[in-house]
Formats: sequence, structure tokens, C-alpha cells
Amino acid sequence: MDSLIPFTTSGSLVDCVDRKMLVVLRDGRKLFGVLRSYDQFANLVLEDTVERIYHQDVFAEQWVGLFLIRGENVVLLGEIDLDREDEVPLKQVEWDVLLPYHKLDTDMKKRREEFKAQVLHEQKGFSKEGGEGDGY
Amino acid sequence: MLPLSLLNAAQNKPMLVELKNGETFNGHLVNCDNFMNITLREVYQTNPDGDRFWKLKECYIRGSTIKYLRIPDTLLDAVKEEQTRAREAGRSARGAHVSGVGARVVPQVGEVLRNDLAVDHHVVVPTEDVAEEEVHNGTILFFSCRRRSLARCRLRSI
Repeated sequence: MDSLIPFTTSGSLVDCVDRKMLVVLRDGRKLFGVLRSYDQFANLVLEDTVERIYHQDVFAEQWVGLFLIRGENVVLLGEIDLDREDEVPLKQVEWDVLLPYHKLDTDMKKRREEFKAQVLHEQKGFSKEGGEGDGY
Repeated sequence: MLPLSLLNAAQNKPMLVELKNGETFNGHLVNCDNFMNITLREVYQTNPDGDRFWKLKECYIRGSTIKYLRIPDTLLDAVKEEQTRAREAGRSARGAHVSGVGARVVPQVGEVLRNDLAVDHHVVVPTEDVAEEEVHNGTILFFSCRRRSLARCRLRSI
């Protein structure tokens, strides 16, 4: 079987279709949903999607439905092991309760990244990132 | 079905578009193209912080600025349903295949199709399964049923 690997078809998302996947977007959002289709740009159709936010040892979920995600905004795609899906060592809480904490986390992260970029640019000659930075 | 086909099928449906900068646009899809450029009508625009709102009768959004689109969940089922219905309809209204007017034609078993790509080959529909658009081994040709030719089938030389 290993010797056949070079001869199998090129990498594609066909094996991920109709599976529950985790999609991380460039703005840092984590979406869990069933991948229904994709195309050459890796635009994705995600069905029955749930957005999840984390803070320390706690998480919250919100059902957000059917998504068509433009491929360039995706950082990664990961397959969810349905057998181990519920073995999450975190406590679940209400979305509205956790949202302000999550916002604080993201703002702090954003400020840290901006400061880092500033220092690197001024002191080490790194170039600045144009447009919206990445939030992940 | 492909993401952009889903978008095309969503014409006149309400949706939410989020741009890369976080602005959101809630409106009904008028039209879209292969670049994901879209026009919406009866649009409610919201700024990234969610504290300012605008109402626009129509708007155009360039595809490259889109982060994602949220579509009504019923749409996926409705489209799949419509595809199967169209397939049944095509099957019952049978006749020899004509390189016709863009109407979707479901090829029949044993039928010989003309196709744009392989001019020195006829394409013969080998099995019922292929006509049903299921995955089939040994494929060479690969083009959409909507373009009057078969989705997947083997080539046989003339």
C-alpha cells in the first residue's frame, strides 16, 4: 500500500466531503460543520455549522447554519473524529456569557500583534503587513 | 454541488455577506458571477463593530472582498431536490441527444453523445450508474451535465 502512494491522485478535499470538519478562518473564527462541497479555490460549503469560542478552560457554541466560505480566508481544515468529539476537557457555557471575554481576548491579541509588527518593522527592518492582519 | 453553483441557485434568496473587513450585508441576491462578484437588493449594511447601520436599495460587492456568505439552510435541500426533479423530467422526456439549446439532458444508457472536447471520439454512456452521475472508475472525460454532455464516462474511439 505504501508503494502506491506516489501513484495515487493528487491531494484533494474529496475525502473530506460529507464529514464533520473544523474550519479556522483568517479572522480567528472556528467553525464546525459538515463539508458538503468545494472547488479549485477551496471555496467551501459547510452545512449545519456551529461557531465556537474559547476562553481559558471554557467554551461556548452558536449555531450559524449554512456557510459558503471563500477559500482564501481559510487557514486550515481539520477532520473531526466523531468518536472522540465529546471528550472535550472544557466546560460549556452560554454564548452570551462568554462573548465579552472572548472579545477581550481577541482585542488583546490584536494589540499584541500590532505592537510586535511595529517593533519588528522599526527595529529589525521587517515589512509591515498590508490590509487586515490575520486574527488567528 | 459546487460552491458557486450553490450561489447561483441562491438567486432571489436572502443572505448575509461578511466582508474581509468585518462589514456585513443582509439582502436578497440578485445576481452573481464566477468571480463571486454579487449584487444584492434591499440591503442592510452594518459596520464591523455592529453599531452603525445603512439601508441600501441595491449594492454591488466585489468577490475578492468577501469573507463568507451565510445562506438559508433550506437552500441546500431545495437545490438537491430540484436537481433530482430535473433529472427525472429529463429522463421521461426522452429522445436522441441533440447538441441543443442548452437544456439539461440526461443521457441514456448506450447513447452516443457528441461533445465539444474530444472531436475524434464519440462518448458512449456505458451504464445506468454513470447516467445517474455517480462516481465511476476509468473516467477520462469530465464535464457538466448542464453543458449537454455527460458528467463522467469512458471514451471509445470512433
